[in-house]
Amino acid sequence: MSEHLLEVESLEVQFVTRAGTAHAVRDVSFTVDRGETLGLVGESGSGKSVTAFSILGLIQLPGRITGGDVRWKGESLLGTAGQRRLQKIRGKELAIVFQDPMTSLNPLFTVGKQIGEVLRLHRGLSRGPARERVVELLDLVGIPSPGAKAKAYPHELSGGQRQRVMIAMALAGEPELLIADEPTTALDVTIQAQILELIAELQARLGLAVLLITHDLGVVAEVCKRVAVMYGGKIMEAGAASDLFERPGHPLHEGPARLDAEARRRPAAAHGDRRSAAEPSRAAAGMSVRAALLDSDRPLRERDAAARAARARKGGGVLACLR
Amino acid sequence: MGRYIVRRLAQGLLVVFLVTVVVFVTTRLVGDPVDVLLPFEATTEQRAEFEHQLGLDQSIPAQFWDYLVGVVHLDFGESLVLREDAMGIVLERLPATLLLVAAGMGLAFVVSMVLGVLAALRPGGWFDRLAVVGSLAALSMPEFWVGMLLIYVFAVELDLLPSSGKGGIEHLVLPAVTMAFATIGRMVMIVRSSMLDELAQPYVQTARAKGLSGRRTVGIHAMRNVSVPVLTLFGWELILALAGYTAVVETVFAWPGIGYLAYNAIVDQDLILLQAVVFLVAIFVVVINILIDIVYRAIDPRIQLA
Repeated sequence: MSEHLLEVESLEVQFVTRAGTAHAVRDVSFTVDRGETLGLVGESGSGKSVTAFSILGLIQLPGRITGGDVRWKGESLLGTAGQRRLQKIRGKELAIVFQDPMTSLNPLFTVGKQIGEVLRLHRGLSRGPARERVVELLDLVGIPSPGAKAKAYPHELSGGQRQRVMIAMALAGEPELLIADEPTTALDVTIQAQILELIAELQARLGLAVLLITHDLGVVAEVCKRVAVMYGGKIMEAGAASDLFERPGHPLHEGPARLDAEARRRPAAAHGDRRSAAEPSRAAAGMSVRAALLDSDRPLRERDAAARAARARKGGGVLACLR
Repeated sequence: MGRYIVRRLAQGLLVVFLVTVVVFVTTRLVGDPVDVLLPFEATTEQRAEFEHQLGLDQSIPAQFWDYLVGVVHLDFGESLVLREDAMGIVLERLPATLLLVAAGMGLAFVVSMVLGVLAALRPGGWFDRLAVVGSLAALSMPEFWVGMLLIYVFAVELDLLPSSGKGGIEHLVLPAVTMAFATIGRMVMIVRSSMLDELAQPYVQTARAKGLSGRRTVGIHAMRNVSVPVLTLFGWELILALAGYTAVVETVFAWPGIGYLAYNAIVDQDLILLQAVVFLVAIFVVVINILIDIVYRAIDPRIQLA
């Protein structure tokens, strides 16, 4: 097959609120082929996660995909027919591992049940075989005594183990593409390396394609062959990872490298990707070169307003409803 | 778990004991039953005779001891007015109250779950606004007034349902709806806001990313989390219904339960009967609390029973 596994073409995502419109993703295009690892890099709030969520149809109001296309094996996942198609392949052919394993698992169900759900839905397994397969999957992702851990609740597992569970859950549908949205950001440094190794190993073993979203250039250098760099909702450059790291003369190199250094200096900032999206300060700090390349309508201010509106909406409760 | 239940039961016993003490003390404080029960022109001898019958001529500690011994045997003495075993009367009336509370609270639970979840699915939509305003209105209306309103509309004007007494299912409708009214108002608010909170949780995103249907995501994943705070409120509502609303609702609808009985006992100053009612309600409150704790543990494994 000549077609790409995943094609994202001129994708536009906007968050429209009364306080203004935030252009979270602007004219983003890239492709992922079978078995390939693409790194999507950028600072917090650059639109990486929104891009990933758009692919899976997980953007929620006030966010909306306003333009472009997402194609899976050549067929669009947008529009009414696309949505129906997406609902069938989501969690099956196309799976995601989220950033924060502490909150991404349902606290009131055993991990075995949560993984088993995927097996029963997408692989048509009945209760018994699903239970056996869950243990296999937990073993595959390197969880010790998987039989006992299948009966554990998320709060009984460590952060690293929970992320392994998330990966097992993503693998349960036997996907062709795994989207890893900052899979190591919320974890301890020592665990981070283990999880990355696991993803790389599984990719080699299962022939997975991986879309790895991260702000850690070290991670990209280790795992990815191709890289796309996002800033302010746009892909600023894309190419082979080796090119990106080995051509210091490139003006765009400066930004991500400084970003990398900054991320290492302030590990606390690495948590809460979405929360800090509202703060333009980090962007202003070291991004002048790349900022100059952007359109004049920089979205940061708008995004700030949108975040404020979202907070007001969430916290308003009864009174907000009456207004 | 077993040890936990035993300990909770022991605590419950203490609560019930304290309630009996309070009941004993207050009934000795509100007035002299002899004044109430004997005609004004009774002679001193008659009064003394009557006091002796009730044991009121003994010292307070002795009276208290007799009272406690009676409580242990569920013997509260004879009702001062009805001249029958007080606990017997209460137990006879209990099924009617339990029926009313079950119907009213069952109705409240189902209705508020449905309305609250539907409202939360489209926050800010027309249904949500309607549900929020409606809930505020419902919880602002006192039961006796709701009851009178319902009687006026459905019994007097439309002549569809009986306005009082106990009989077939049609007798149950108006009192049960009255009892459910304010509870629905409060519960819809909590179900709605809890569901909104839960739907914003990352695990909901995970469920959707797994390819689960919206129905399963909301109905199974989010609902189980919602049920924890909702259960807390529902436990209180159940207790309030049993220990409070019944007195009002049963009186408005002349429903022959323990609430109506308690109301009459207060009016007649029938302290013995009142003691029996209060004691029984206290037992129910304790039992409901223990049951709720156990259900909690079954829903949320993170809750440690201690």
